[in-house]
Amino acid sequence: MEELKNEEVQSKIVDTEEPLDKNIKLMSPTRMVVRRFFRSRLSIVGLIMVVGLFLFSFVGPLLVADTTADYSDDTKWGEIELDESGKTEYATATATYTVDGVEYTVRQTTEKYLKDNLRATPSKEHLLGTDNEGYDVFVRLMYGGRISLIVSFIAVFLITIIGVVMGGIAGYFGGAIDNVIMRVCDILMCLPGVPILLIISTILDASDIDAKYRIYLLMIYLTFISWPGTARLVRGQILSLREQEFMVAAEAMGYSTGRKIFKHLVPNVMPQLIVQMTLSLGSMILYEATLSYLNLGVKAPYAAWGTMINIISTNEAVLQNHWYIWVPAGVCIVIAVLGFNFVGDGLRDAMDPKGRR
Amino acid sequence: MAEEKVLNNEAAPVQYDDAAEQAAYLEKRKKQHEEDFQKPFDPEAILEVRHLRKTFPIKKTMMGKVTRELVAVDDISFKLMPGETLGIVGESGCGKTTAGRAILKLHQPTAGQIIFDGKDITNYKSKDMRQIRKEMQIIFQDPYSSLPPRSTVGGILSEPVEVHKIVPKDQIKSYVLELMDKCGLRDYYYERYPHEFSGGQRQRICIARALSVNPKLVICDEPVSALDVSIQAQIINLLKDLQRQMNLAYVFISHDLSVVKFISDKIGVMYLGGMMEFGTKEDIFKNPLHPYTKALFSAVPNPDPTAKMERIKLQGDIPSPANPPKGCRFHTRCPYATEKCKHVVPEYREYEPGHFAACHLLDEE
Amino acid sequence: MAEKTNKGYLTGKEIRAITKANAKEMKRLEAYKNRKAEESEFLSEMKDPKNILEIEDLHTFFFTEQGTVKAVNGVSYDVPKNSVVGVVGESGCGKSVTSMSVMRLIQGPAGQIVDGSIRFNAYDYKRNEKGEPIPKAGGKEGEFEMEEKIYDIAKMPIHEIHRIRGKQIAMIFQEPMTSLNPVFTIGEQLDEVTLIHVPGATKELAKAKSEEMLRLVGIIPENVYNAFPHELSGGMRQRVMIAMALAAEPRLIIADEPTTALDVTIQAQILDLLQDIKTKIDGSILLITHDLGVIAEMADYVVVMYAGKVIEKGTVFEIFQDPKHPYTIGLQKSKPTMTLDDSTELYNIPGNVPNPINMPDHCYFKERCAKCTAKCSGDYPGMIQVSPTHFVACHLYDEENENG
Repeated sequence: MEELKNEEVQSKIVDTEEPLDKNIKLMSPTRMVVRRFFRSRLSIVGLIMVVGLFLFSFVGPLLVADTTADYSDDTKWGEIELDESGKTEYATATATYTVDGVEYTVRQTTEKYLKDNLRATPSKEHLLGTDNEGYDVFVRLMYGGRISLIVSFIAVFLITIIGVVMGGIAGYFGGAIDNVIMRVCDILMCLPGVPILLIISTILDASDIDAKYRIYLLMIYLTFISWPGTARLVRGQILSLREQEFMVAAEAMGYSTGRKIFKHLVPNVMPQLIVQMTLSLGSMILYEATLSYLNLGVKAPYAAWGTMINIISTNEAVLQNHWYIWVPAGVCIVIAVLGFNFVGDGLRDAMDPKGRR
Repeated sequence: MAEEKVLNNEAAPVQYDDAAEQAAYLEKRKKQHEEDFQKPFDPEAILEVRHLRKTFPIKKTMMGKVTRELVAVDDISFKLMPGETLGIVGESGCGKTTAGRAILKLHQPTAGQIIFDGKDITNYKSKDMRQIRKEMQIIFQDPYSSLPPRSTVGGILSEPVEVHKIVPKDQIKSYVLELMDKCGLRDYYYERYPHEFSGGQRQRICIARALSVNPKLVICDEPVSALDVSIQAQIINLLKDLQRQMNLAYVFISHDLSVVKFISDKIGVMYLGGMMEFGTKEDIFKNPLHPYTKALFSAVPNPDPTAKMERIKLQGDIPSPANPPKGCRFHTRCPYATEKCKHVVPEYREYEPGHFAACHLLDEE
Repeated sequence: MAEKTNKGYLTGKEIRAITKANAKEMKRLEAYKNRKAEESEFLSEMKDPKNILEIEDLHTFFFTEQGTVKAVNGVSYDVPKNSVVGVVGESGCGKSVTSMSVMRLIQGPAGQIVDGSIRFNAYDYKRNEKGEPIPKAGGKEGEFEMEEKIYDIAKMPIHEIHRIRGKQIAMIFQEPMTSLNPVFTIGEQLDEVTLIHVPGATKELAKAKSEEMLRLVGIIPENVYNAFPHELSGGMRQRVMIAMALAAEPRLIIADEPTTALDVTIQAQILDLLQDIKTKIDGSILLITHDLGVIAEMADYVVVMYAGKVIEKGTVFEIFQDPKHPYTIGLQKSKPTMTLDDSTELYNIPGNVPNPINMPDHCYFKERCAKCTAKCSGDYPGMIQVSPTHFVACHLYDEENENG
């Protein structure tokens, strides 16, 4: 062994070893996440649900709805186009009374002519029938999806931006700044969300604001009270990352603060952030639906899933006899929330394989 | 020898006034420090550390006033020449890692002076520090957490080159590949991610990153402690090789005495934040003065089953650095401790040329 | 195992094939692990009655998506009574997996004991037909009839393992910081061991036993019994861990890197304690470590492992003074010691441990070996006996063996 110099051994070994470990290549972290994500059936189901809803809401109207402003197309229906084809509705009432021990039954049928084709059953013309006012349910379902998805995306986007900036500042600089930001978060988290929402809604009702935009204003308010969650997450992540040795190494390398934050910290917070964003998309959709259901959000004639379900609260007959008016909207909400949650869970498992049971 | 002294002490008990001793010690120390800080810098030394002290607050009042603090590093001084290696050994909690980071100013020192390459960098602002950073680098213990997980090896190594403009932009890749070759990394690793590598290879990447900016001084903070024996040897040889090629100065921090002995020219032994003994390797290993050094050496298991040597056994645990003992900080575990050791802080003095120690026993001889 | 594409990735198709094959294999092994079995099925005979533990041809595999990791691939060694056997090797060599297999702590369903036997000489309760311990005639409460039984741990159903785990074989882990539950006091955790393992034990009995154990490991019980783990230093916690291991009076202690996380001066204390304990309990210690110094100081017999196989085993003197395998030689030379002349370069074994999934057919050490010959490209070398107690798996010693 002594005769063999170390270097000779080394050079000899380099040649034999190379092919062995050149073969074994692992994937980049991103590719690994993608692969693990697609291995889970549930996340694929979630993805299909979400993508399906997107196509339904954004591509669907282009195919089946009349998107022109004056609704000139006779074969298609628009979002706020009433079916004015008219309808005769028959109502039958029965009364029983006894005269001298003989029972009589009187049946009275009223014929009522309506200007609009209300509560039409599903047919070729109206795939899911028409609602209480005579709007096409199927078309409105698609437009309602647009509102829900856009609004929740905007809200989540805003929450994330504010959360990352505030959380990042708090976590990176620490000290008094951290203290101030975290106390602001605490205060915001104490605010009772729904009561204030009701008040704001009343104010909006009183002031002259287009029904189209009030939902956006409400979502901005929701953003305002929701960002502390994200800020806390980001702050926690940054606090733990800051202690990691690769951050100390970056400090020792003399990198600028901006480079440290944006090239070294943020990419490492991204995974958790993406999961958080996906999961909050679901809850934002629920929020939007709740607001609209309570008649605080999107108002008629514009469509939203929540508003569409709201019909049942004004007309009991719809709840009993016309399931096709309100059930589809509910199904859409369920699909959207479940889909986003499945995708979020799938991403979380894919990014943190150790976290799985 | 030791027992005799204990007997002597019992015969003539000396009363020690802790408060007075402490005040006298602080007064003397302050004077000495002021004197030392005025001394001219050694023009040859790459690094000179004078009375470095670093404390961390444990308890603060509402107003942010520190009421209790942990003295992680207490009054350490040494000089390091270019191309030399200083080994710092000590057990956990002795402040060796803090010392390393304070030298790099990753922690702002509480007191003392750090003179790097003829410049007093103690009070440099972070902007000025950034320029100096490329001349002093650090290698960490844990090769897993010290590499950013989401960059390729090529990215990790070219970033510092780019930031500090070591070579023109178009030459960065070839420069990095050359560096990788020097550190025993294959060229096709360039595109790969840290998680694909074993600990030894990751440590090579860390070394390559530290050397990418052509530093003059590298702090090695337990670089081989997390590695297997055969890989340890590879890394130590690599470090020694690179030192010869690039005339690097190392501060090699480790708890493993045999590794420190192998790589160092000078050795400092730390205990609970303080320097117990400092000298050249020959001084420390052939003629250890401090009882702690002796005990530390004899505790290392010897991989030779025939050599069952007698040990100096240390009793008890290492006291918490947040609550260090009075007097000599080692007296609670020292087999030779006397009454004086419990009350009076021993002076850190030069007993032989270049060989320092802090122990009362040495004075009495 | 699987074909590689040009880029070196496994394709999705290959991964699915592997996953499918793994699932089948894992299901079979899990069923075997959870089966109901008569005691006679896992009773066995010792090859040598002087041994307390015999591991023979043990295979423990991990079924992963990338392929089967043969963490322990045909390992055989014995632990004689009243001795310390040191297992040494680098990380990933399978030394810990072997000990986990002995304790049956391998995490299923991915990790499975595939083949081989682990025979253990237990001193267990004599059982009646129903499998209940028989109380000792005229004995005190908590005393039962005892007898020596040889169990084959590898064949034991997992629900029978409580007969051995923690009671007959106790384990000391590397991390004294995380091995104790932070929300219970030391006393509670110690008492629990006795309460679980001694049928009919009362709280008073358990406390008395715990205090006795603490005294045994050099701790004054009054100070520590009511303390929480975080109040103790690392060395103290490791002492408590040892006390816990001793509480059930085991015949074998597996110490898995017991001093790696400790400082040298504390390590010296703990090693002394372990030596001391061994004589006191009259048992054996299986010491797993990567530190050759610790092995030299503690062990009577040494087993050197590399990449899931035993490459050399013998008495401590044989291994340290007359090492045969190039890996053992290299390992000893690459460790800087206090007595080594440090003017020269440290010897190093080049390269890295091979990937555990695609193990070659030839000697696993061939790529890193300075002495490798043409023969090394052939089959994996068998165990060659060079002295009554010294075995080595290397082709260099083939001829010597054939001649003599």
